[in-house]
Amino acid sequence: MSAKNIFEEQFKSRSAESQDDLVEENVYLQIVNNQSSFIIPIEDVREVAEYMPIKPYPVQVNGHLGVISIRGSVVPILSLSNLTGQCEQLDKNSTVRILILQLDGQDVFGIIAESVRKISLSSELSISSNNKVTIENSPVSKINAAHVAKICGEAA
Amino acid sequence: MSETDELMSEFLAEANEILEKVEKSLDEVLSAEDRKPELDSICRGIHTIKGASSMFDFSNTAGLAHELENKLNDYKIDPGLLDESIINDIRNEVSKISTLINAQDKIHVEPVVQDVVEIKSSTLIAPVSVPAQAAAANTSASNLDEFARIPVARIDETLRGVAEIFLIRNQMVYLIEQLRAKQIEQKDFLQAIDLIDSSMRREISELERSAMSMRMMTVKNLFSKMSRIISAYNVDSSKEIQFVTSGDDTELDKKVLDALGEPLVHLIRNAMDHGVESKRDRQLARKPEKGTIRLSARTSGNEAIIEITDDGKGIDAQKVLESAKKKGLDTTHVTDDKSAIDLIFLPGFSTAEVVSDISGRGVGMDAVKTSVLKLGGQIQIQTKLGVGSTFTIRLPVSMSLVPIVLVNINGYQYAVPNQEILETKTLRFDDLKSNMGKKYVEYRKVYIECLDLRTKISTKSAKHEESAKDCSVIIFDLKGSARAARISSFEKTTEVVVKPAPHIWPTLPWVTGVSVLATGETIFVLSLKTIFESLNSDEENKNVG
Repeated sequence: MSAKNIFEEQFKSRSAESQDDLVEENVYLQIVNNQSSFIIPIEDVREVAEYMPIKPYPVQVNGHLGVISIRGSVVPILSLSNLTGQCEQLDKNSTVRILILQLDGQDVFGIIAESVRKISLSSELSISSNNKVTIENSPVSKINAAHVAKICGEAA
Repeated sequence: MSETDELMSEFLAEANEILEKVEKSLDEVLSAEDRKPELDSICRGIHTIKGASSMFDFSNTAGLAHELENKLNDYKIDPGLLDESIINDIRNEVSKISTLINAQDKIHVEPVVQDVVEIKSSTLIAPVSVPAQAAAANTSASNLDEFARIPVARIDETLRGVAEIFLIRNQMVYLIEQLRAKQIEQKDFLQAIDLIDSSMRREISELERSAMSMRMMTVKNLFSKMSRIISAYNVDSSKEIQFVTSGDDTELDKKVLDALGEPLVHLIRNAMDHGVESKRDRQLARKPEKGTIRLSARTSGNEAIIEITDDGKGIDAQKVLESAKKKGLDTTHVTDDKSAIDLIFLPGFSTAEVVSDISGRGVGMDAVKTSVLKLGGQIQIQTKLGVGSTFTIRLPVSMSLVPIVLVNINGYQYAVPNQEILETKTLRFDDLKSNMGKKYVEYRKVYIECLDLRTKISTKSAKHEESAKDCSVIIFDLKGSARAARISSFEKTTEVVVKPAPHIWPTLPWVTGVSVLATGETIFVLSLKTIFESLNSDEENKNVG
């Protein structure tokens, strides 16, 4: 089962939900990376791929893990270490996934997720201005373009 | 696309071609021994434009061409009367016509002539204001951009390739039928298939080459656009600048070429405005009154190198640093002049003390860098105070098949383009000699420096069996002298499609492209020259420090 598209399966189950639910709830993927938790709007997720080896750049670049190839396309994989303060530990256990994201139609990139789950948040549960939301009594950050700029900016 | 659209595209392409020829003749007419043939060629060109414009009912363009034709006719009797100022006037008229024609390219409706006259006082490439109804009439403008003029010979070559591949396919079918009918031994069948495979590979690479060549266009048109910008600047400013080009016949992928225009215009404007000094300053600096901007293009491997050089005042690293600090930009990583000068690529940076009409309008060098990076290229600056600056843009020529040697360094595969390689060698460990902390290998009876890439590539060693006795080295050329690079081992030679780097991509001068192998593994295409150069300059910096 290579690069299985979990997103599609989840999307199917989502479309089975009632129309009212779709209006009232926003669907996100919640991921864990180095004990930090993030959410990403499901429309920004292009694919959830199974873990595959990442080709590292010939020189180490802060914020960048390397590249992978998905069906012939080269996708850069960014490290969330600038956000979590810790380097990714890739023990490649069965739950590790690579999320291919495209935030607001911008450039495509990937991140590592130690685990992924789909969640629905009520639209009443507003995300604070610093992109934080509390889920199950834990703070969770919403990944946005500013994070990407921070990762890439610090790498430059 | 309708028939009118097609005719229109043809008209635009031809008109631009004619205008280029006219521009070229204008450049050459004054220095020509016999001015008449050049002047005749200008007259013919303008006359053709007049006729074609009338055909499309572009009365303003036709009117301008008509007036210019009348003016030119006055000099036909005695071309000796032509001088620099008259030629500049004619150039102005030609650029008005060119602006009108190219505005039609964008809006598909002829703009009014007054719009163009207003442009004269600023720059040639300022946008023409488009009447609202004209903009509304724009229905298929985007389709017009998708045309390329291709010599018939190139198309014929491609068709020949297709025919060859079809023949090979027939041979294959025949062989398989023979095998099925047991009229051929399996051993002979496999041998024949091997032969077919090698001809197929040859033909596919030929076909690929000729198909790619259809996308390739020379930089000539782009360079002559730059020449027009400089001519216009000479008219409007107190500076006098001569423009020298070389490598006009260098070919680039059309897509790359189209996207290169904007950054190039910006760099040329900067060179005119901030690089070349005023006549007075040049006199004081004991420089020729006339400044020079050089624009050159050449290819090296799958890379096109475009250089914009001016003999102006150069960039003052200290001033750049101060200005960046004033603007609150992050300067913590600045350790030397080079890193200070690179600050000009940061968003929001501008050193122009006076915001001029030509540049300094807020579109900074960061936009230039972004455009170049998006094309999968890189930009570098070399500058010397009082002497001038060179901006070097390196771009992928095309996304074509590149023959490479697949090498293993610390357990990871990398590609080195064949074109970079003089020779590959597997030496005995004793053949590697040490001297003053550096390694040397013998190549054609001379000891050349050998760089151990295994210690430079910072990826952690993956599983890889390395022979302790042998050492694999690549001999390559660095500015005319041979150098060696030691790798872990050679894998194989193959051909890959080099892709431009994704948009989110760290600055990696060592890597010229990225490719995907048949196994799905991503490989980086390394530039040994750049690795060697950057490591040497790091060393020099250390020594200086």
